[in-house]
This record gives sequence, C-alpha cells and structure tokens, in this order.
Amino acid sequence: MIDDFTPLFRLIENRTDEVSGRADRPISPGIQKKLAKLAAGRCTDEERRELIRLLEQQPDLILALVREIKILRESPK
Amino acid sequence: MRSDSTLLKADNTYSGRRSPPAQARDDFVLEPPDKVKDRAKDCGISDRSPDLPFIKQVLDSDESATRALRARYSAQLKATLCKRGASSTEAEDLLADLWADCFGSSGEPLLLKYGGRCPLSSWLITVVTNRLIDFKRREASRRESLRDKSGKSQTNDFEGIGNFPARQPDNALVGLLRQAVMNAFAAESPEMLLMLRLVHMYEVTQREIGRIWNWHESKVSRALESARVRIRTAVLAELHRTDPWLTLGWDDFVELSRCARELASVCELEINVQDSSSR
Repeated sequence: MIDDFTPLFRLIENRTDEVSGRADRPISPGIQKKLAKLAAGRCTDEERRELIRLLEQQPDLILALVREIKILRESPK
Repeated sequence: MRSDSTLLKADNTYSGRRSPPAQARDDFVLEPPDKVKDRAKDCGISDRSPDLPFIKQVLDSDESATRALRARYSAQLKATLCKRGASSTEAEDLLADLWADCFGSSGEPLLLKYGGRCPLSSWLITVVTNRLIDFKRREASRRESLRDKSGKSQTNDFEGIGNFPARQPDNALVGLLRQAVMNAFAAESPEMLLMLRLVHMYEVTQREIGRIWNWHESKVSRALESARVRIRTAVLAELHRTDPWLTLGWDDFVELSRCARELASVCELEINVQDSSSR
C-alpha cells in the first residue's frame, strides 16, 4: 500500500532531516520515565492525556517516545 | 534574483514572461560543456535519481538530450496543466516559459535546481503547477485592479498587460499545500495526530499504538482510517476554497507534496539570494 500521509507530515515538518540533532537534547529523567510508561501502555487515561499535551507542546519529545517504543520492540518477550 | 551568467542562451531573447514566438522557443546557443559540467557539480547534483544522468546530459549541452527532454515531457505537462484548470493557451505559455527557464534563457538553468529527490516528471509537474497557481492568482489580481480603476469589469482588457504583477518566487504551491495540510490537521485531536505521526513518520505499528492507548488493534485501524478520510476531504476542500479553479485529486496532491520539499528548498535558496542581494 502506498503511504500517502508521510509526504504530508514531511511537508509541514520540513526540518525532518535535522531530527536526529534535536534528539540529542537532554530529557529529564522524570519525563523519560513517564514516556517509557506511556510506551509500555501502563499510563492511566489522565496520565496519557497529560503526556499527549506535553508532546503537543514539545514535539521534540516524540523522538524520545519512539525510542522507548523501539526498546520495547527489541527487548526479549 | 537570478545570476546574470547564463549557461544556455536563447538565440532570440524574449523579454516578456508570456509566450515567446514558437521559433524562439527552440533556438538555443549552447555554451562549452565543461563550463556547464562544473556548474552542475558545484550545485550539488548527485546520482540519487535515475533521471540525473539524463539531466547532466542536457546540462552538458547535448542537443539530442535537450530535444528528448521536451519531447518526453511536453505532452504530459500540457495535459496535466489543462486537467488542473489551465486553458490550452495558458498551458502552452507556461510550458514555453518553463523550457526557457530550464535551459537558462534568463539566468541560471532551472534544471540545476533539480536535486533528484523525486522523479523528474513529478518535479516538472510540481514546478509548472506552482507557476500555474501563481499565474492565475496574478491574473485575478490584475483583473481586480482593473475593475477597481474603471469601476466595471474589464476581463478582456489586455492593454494593461505591462502592469501584470511580477512572478513570485516559486512558493505559491508550497504555501498552498502546507496551509491545506495544517488546517486539516488542526481539526484533528492531538491524540489522533500523535497516532498518525507515530505511524507515518516513525513506523510505529498499529499493535504498538494499541498498547499505548489500551485499544484493540482493529480499533486503532478504524480510528486511523477515519482520520485519514477526514483529512483527505478537508485538504481537498481547503484547496477548492482557496483556488476554486484548481482541479486536484488526492493522488495529485500527494505527488505535489512529495516534490514540494524540493521546491521549498529552491524557494528558500531564492529568497536567501534575494535577501543577500538587497542588503
């Protein structure tokens, strides 16, 4: 199936090539822990809503969430 | 602002932006290939696209490649322009301008800006669609200004052609596409946008999304598909609202979006050059 939405995101986030640079910004251990909890599906609805609000305000943190998701994906079951 | 050093010069220079005589469109005097090759190298053309070697041939003053380029794409570009809302004459005028600029009749060859990040046909379609939008908007603006002056409609009055507003840098299309996407995204909830972004930008699976939201995978799939349908509908509606004459389907929009980033980088380059030269 052709992915017709990736070009849309790339269009509005035209600095995606620099994304790896943004990922290097330090994240507080507290936020890191919350993102790990979100990735693992262990957040309450309220916690999840709060984190989504945070990710909306600081889109750089999405990369940290993606990292947590990929750690879980690669970890042995 | 374009450089004065032209690589390929039109034999019969046509000063206007509208269609030059048919004869003039095909007569180009080619400069030495080594000069063109150096410029192509300087401008960072790489071998990312299978079309790039062909473009290098064109820029290396290979007349048969130049003819082949026009022969290969002219009919497709004209058909696309007409399908998108141009009259036959407008399409021919825009194509004449495009080819003249591609070969550098009024400055640096436009083809040097092709970076190979999308197929050449898509890039040419994106550039010429941008010019169509720009032309139609300038034409509407000119008609409005004539109406304001006379107090009545003078849609067929071409006496004021000298006052036709100047062509803008190649950013009309990028602005239009971006605005349509941003408005459509703004209508979605932050959590739906995050889901879409995770799936489409970072290849997070629907199963992983389901785990985060405590949803079954099928619920994720349905929610994402509903959001995609809403966004597609909203984007096309926004385009129609902004430029009602423009006929674009979803696949057209996606193809333009794929190439728009390349066009956007060209715009930023042109804007930077303009800024530095005006200082």
